[in-house]
Amino acid sequence: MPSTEYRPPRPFSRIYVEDAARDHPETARVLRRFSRSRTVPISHYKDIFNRPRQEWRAQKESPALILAARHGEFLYDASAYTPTFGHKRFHYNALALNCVYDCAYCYLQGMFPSAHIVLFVNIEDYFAATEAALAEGPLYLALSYDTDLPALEHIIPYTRRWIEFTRTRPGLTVEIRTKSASFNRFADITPTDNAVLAWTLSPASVAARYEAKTPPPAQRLRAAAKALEAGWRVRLCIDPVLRVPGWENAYTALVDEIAEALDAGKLEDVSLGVFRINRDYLKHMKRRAAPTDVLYHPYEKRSALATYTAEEHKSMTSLLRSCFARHIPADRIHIV
Amino acid sequence: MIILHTALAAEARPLIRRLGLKPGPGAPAPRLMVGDGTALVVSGTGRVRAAAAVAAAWTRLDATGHAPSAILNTGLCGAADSGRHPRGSVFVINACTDTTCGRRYYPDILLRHSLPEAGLHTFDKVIHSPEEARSGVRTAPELVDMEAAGVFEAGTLFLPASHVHALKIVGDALTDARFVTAADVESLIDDAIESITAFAAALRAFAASSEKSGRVLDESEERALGEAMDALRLTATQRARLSAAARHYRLLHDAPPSPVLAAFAARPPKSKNERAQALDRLLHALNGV
Repeated sequence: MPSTEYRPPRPFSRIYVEDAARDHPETARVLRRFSRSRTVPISHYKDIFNRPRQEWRAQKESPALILAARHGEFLYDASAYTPTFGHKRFHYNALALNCVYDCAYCYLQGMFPSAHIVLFVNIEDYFAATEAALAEGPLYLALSYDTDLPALEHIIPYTRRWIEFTRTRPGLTVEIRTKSASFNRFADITPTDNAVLAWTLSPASVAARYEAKTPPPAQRLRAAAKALEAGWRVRLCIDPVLRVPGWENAYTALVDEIAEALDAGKLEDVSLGVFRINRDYLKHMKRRAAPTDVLYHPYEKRSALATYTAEEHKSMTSLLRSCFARHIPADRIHIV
Repeated sequence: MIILHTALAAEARPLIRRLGLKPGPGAPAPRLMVGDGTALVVSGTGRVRAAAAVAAAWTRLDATGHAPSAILNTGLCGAADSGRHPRGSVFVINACTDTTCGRRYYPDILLRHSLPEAGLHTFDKVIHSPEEARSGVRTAPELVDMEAAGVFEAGTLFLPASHVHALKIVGDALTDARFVTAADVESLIDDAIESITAFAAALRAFAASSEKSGRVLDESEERALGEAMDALRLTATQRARLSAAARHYRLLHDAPPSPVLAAFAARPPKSKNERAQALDRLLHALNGV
């Protein structure tokens, strides 16, 4: 038998299409976009996505797309580990599962059994569910929760469509969180107060080591600055903060870079959170994900959570809070 | 080690010749041939025999310390549309339906290949026409055979869906199967042998790569870790903590933890108290940030 080196396929060279999504116009649009990809019809997305013992790392290198139709629930209560920014009705939805980026600390590695990316094409059902929820009062909705929606915009333009949907729903505020740097995709959209664009930032050294396939933080920051200048509500998220060697200098420098790049006083707010993760997810991540020191740090175990000790947590958040307090009012600094 | 599976001896013969396979260990049935990193099992016709043969081959190889890391079913199939799937053409199977129960298998194809792909339906009887293939199934069959679903069912008991595949060569158009002789079968496999061996090699490379990709410590580092654990006479919980700390050190510093471990292993504790103190110091030395 000839010896050979392992060669992964191109990302998205395979697209699984669920029977229920087969005739949807969004499916046709995505298939046109990937006309060279192989298409495989499937009964249900979970036949691919939820099976046991998947090769997570190889899938992450060359993920397949799974086009599916969502049924049942469209809105979820926010996790206890995420900030709600004072909103009483804080929900998230899942328009996609998984992310094009490959962050070593990402909880999705522990949450989902597959690294393939699921896109739910029936956006109209999400809109209908949101309308129904809005009838009961104002709603704060995180759109880019178990994915990075703007990073998928070249595949399926959901960010743009949600912003347009939100514009005419006064009771609705959406948060769209990303590590993407391509603000130009949205530059032609008139800003709306109903949408908060949120960028997650890390020190360059942290991003280089732990945030594979993401744009450098300097580019993300430039995108955030452009959005701010254009009149958008912009949130910056330093989350997760990692206690890596030299973390004090790295995070202090990041805040300085932010203050230089944009008018921090105009920011909607800043959200800070040290690394924290569900202990079961961490266990799964050690088995599935590419091994990195973040996964093997001696975290303290607090009920279902693995995170830094209370002392470490305090020192990390105190430093960042004091750095940001020089540029932004204290009431706009949220600590998770 | 990769297991190749064929239903017929005539399908196996060209592979045995090409790969220089010799009779393998264990019972005479099912017939198992082995060579360098490759085993081949011949099951006879049918889904159940295929599943049983793959399971038997797995067990026999595992017992000799050669746990297989991939399984490839290959051999002839019929085509419902000979225009799209002409005789002699080779297809990687991307979906396989077991027509007895309707269950579908989707091999997770995580390796690059240049062959065309197709869906396959596995029947429990010989199919004599495209119309017969289409009757009673939910999706119109492209290719049909009598074994692949059994290989997927048994194979995925042992391995992930990315490690169990089928590569089929079109032998007939469902109207002329009885005219395919053993010599024809050998000839068709011979013609496809480059595609089969290349795909099998790619599959083996993928399986080898996935085995390595989650490893943090190499063999010598694992040995140093084990020696430190034994010298310190650690409990199971303490061993787990030390194992995580050694991995943390390796990944954070991109350097072997062996020197740190060896320094502690050289001074075995004389009491439980000393052991606890030594472990604390060792964990601090490995984890200290």
